[in-house]
Amino acid sequence: MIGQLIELISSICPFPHVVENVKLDGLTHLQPKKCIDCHDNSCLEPSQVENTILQCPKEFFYFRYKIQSRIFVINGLFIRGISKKLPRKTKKTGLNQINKGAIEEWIDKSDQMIKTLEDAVHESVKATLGMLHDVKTSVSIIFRNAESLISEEDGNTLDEKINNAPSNKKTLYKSVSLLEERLKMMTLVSNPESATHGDKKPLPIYKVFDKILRIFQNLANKKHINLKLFGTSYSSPWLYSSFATIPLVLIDNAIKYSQSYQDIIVNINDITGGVSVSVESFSLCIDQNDIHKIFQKNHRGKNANKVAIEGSGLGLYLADIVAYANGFSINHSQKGNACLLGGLQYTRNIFSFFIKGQGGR
Amino acid sequence: MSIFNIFKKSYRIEELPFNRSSSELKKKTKIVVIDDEEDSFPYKLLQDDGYTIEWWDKVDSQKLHRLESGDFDIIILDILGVADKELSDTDGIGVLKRIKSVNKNQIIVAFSGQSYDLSKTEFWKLADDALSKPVTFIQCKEILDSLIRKHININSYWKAVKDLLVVNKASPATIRKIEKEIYKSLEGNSSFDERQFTSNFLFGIQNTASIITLIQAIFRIWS
Repeated sequence: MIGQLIELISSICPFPHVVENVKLDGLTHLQPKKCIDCHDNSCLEPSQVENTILQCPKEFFYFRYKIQSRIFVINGLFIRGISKKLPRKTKKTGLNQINKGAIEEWIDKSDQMIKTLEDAVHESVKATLGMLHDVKTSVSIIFRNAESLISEEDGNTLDEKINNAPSNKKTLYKSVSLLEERLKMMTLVSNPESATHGDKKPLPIYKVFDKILRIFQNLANKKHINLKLFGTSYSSPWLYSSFATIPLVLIDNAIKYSQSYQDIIVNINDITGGVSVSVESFSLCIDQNDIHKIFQKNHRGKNANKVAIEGSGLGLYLADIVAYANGFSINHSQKGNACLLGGLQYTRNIFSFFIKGQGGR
Repeated sequence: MSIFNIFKKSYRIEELPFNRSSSELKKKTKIVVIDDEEDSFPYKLLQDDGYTIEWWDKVDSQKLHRLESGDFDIIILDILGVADKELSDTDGIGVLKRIKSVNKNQIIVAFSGQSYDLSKTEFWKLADDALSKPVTFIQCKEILDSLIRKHININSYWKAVKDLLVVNKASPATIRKIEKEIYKSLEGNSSFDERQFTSNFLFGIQNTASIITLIQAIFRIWS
């Protein structure tokens, strides 16, 4: 949102200005050549005072201020009645000459515009999030009833009761578990900081993946895909509960983009220094131009769009946020030669990561 | 070291062996869930599973006093709709802040469906742990078991008692005497006489209600 706001203000700012060290023309006044060629750039020094009109050694006036924590510098101006030595061309053309108070007037107008936009976005977000809250309340009721149904089954623990339950109750319980994980992902989209909510706890990685694989079993069966879990791991590294988003996204994507009658293989192994995890599937090739974008928000690859599989383009973006919050990163590689099937290229895609630590903080 | 010190018995609570099974601790740990939506937290299933847990839909001044006094080992607190404006302008956040200001060692779990709301970040940061709605029974159980393993032991409670004594200007000598008294009572499996204890050791010390409640908790989980 901040980036978009800065772009908007920059596009309508009448004065020459600097954003992220890039010197830009204004709508009515251009960047002076002296500013473009300037190496001194004293107006861009972080230590410079903000919200005050100052003069640089080249006798231009500049004004530094913040738009939602980002620095915006209006530069390269002469102020009528104050600037003493005006270059001949400037005197003649009036270019880059402004009246006293023009900067403040512009700041006021742009502030008003930003506030109006923010209020509009806020209202829209508030309405959406209000509905999300209502959805969460309804889902809580579904959970209580699903748990109540399961608790009627034989068994001492909930796991035993789920195992002893008839398939329709098992499916119901797994569906609500999936719903729970999806709602958490929605929360991450609007507040990525929620990836670090709560205390880090020892999470048995193998068990977490096992649980997610079981949740997706029905979906995988419909596509005749085998979900396989291999490896040896007893590790429980200290992680935030948001970690569960990662197996959810990787396995969901693997099923979504996999060819039928294939295997999705999850390997989890304790190795020196930590746990190594990989999720491998025979799925759509990721175009070379898309590879560096797959973790970007709202990005959907060229090939993914061709098969018209529904998707928000948020899964890997969220998985990346959670991985970062937990102190590691997710890597992608493609193995072997691509095959052409139904006009689309498929290959072995591998998403992998390494978590340091074997159980201590 | 003086020769007499070798024979001097140490009355340090941390040296008492404390091995209680998870099912014992589960039963002895007093938990309260505060949420205006009863279905949000599976407290009934957890009760069936052996946890000592109750549900409040709201906090009034009387209940707040209980929370501030350390009546519960773990508080699970919602952010909205749990306190009247007279009690707290900022609803759940206000309640959380008040409890923490009186007893920073009180374990509070932030419980809300509003983890998407950036403006509520303070609520999550002030709490000891977090549960984001909707929650399943298994999630709640995992968090509670983790908190019980980490915090429900006589050392943690004694630390909380010591912190309160220090804040309320008890002298180091008084603190040592109190620790010795508690140690001997626990070792001898004798019960805690609140009145005698207060008159012997807490004369002149403020906030005795919270201190007594925490000491009662030590005896509760020890027994």
